[in-house]
Amino acid sequence: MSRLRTERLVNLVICLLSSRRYLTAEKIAATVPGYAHDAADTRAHEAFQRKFERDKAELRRLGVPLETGTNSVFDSEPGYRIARREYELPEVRLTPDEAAVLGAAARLWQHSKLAADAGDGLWKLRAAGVDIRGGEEPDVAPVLTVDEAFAPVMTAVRERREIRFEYLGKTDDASAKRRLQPWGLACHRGRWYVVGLDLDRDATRCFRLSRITGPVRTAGKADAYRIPEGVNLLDHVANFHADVPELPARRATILVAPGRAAGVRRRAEQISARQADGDRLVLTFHDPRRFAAWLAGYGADVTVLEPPEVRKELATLLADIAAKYTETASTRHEVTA
Amino acid sequence: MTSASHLSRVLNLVPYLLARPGIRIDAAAEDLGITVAELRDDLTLLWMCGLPGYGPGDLIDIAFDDDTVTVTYDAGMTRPVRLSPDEALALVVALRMLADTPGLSDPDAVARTLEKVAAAAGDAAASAARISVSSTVDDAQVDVFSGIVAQGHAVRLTYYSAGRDTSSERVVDPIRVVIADDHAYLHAWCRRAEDVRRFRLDRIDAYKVLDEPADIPPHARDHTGSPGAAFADADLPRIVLRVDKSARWITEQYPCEFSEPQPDGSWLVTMRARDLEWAKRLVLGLGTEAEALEPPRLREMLAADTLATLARYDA
Repeated sequence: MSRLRTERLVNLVICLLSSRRYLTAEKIAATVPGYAHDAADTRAHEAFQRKFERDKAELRRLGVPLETGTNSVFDSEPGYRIARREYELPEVRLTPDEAAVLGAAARLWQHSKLAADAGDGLWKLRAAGVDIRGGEEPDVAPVLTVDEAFAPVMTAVRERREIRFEYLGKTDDASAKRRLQPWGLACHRGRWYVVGLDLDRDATRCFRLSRITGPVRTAGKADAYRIPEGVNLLDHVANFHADVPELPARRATILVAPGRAAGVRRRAEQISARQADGDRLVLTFHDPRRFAAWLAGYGADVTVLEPPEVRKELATLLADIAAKYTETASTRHEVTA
Repeated sequence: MTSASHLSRVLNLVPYLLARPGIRIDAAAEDLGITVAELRDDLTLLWMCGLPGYGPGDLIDIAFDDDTVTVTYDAGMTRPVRLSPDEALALVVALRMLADTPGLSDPDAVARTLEKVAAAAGDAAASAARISVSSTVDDAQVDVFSGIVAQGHAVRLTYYSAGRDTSSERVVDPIRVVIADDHAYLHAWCRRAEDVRRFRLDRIDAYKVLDEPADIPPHARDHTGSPGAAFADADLPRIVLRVDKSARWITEQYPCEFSEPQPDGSWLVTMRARDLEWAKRLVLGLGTEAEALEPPRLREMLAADTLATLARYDA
């Protein structure tokens, strides 16, 4: 922003704050430096109107409550004013430890837009007399970040406006168009989700922001729907993640090559005395298939001794994997040769 | 600083100075994170602003006294502007996330701050109510290790490295506990590596707090190692995998150079591996949902490994 525009906006704020009456654009142009123009000159007047519109938008973005209204029923043109009570940040007193917490919290954002917003907010609190020093980092801190879709989705939630986006679900082949009335955002285990009414399915749905591909577009009017009262966004997100019920716990005995497969060793409940071929470990498992798949990652370093069910699962899995690198390898070679 | 922030700074500068009569200019500039020259520039700008009429009695007046500054006429700019919804959201959500973090030394102070800031924000904080946050991790070890950080002693760790599939001992100087991506980490100066390392708390299999105080090189405190950095290194072997869509989550877990859907529904994923042993474990762990295509050496390793293992189940 140019220095001239900053100066003009500061004067506009002081002028509107000092007036109890609504001031018309014409009156403002005649009063505040930087707006003077010949109203009879159509092009100059249009330029003023554009400038004034941009300035109003900028002030609203900063949180300045610009009111529009008329002083009496006889006024044909609306005017503007800023109610001091709405403009001013209320009294806020923080103890030194609270101010330190606030300073540390504001620095947690890793996302540039939110970090800047937090910094601007902090500055207003400083101007209210709160002393916030740089200070030490806390001993424990969450890393806060958001996905690209966060800002447009949040704006749509605020305006209660329908959004459209392309979404790549966990098992979708390609992104699909989705239409949603967003109710709110939830952060669950470090990941962001939007919860709302999926208009194509006519049901509550939850979408992970990082799987939204491309831009989020708004559609239709603001205030287009009501957000149901008492919705627990986190419940929806937790349901989205609901795991299949666990099978009963069982034990398996695994032979592990000496000094190998540390990842399996650290989960062992029992390790028997070493024999020449390696160590015999006892581990608890629930689902034989998932357990076998996990063990497969350790390759030739582990052999399942018991139970036969896990042995069979693992042998089948290994045979399937081996087939990819033996038969297909030769056919691939023939094709390229 | 963005231009919007500049207007915000200038609008709130008069109330800031009113609250601190006779503040040193350099102290104010430091507080605002700007240079003394920038602050002087803002003050001259404010000199040109004031009430309509814009005469000597209408303009903002600021008195300089060598190194200090005092507002003598404020033209009605006595208080800062209210928080905007975006500002309120950024502060309130950060405080709520912090309040939800285990292992805080003073959770009560966070709760009080949150209450006061939300009250000051008023309606602007309404949209923050449309955001829910839940504990990022559920880990009793966060309590233990943030206590160790506060204690300020060196620690001997037994740490399991999933990348190397080995456990090893090392002495570290704890810096802080950081919670990111669903996991809690101890940031510490590793004496063996002579660098800052992050240790996932759920992979610390044992620890012993030593008598000696933590000795952290000054430059190490601000260091924040990215967990993905090691994988993006161009010196590391490049691997190409074909994965089923059910295993596509690996593209969210590991930094990938390239991933693209294939006509048959599978995905081609190109990524850097720590080493081929790591790549072998990754591919074997994905079972039938993945096939390594490149490099040929990885395919040979997979063939040899699976055939050797299979032989043991032939009975």
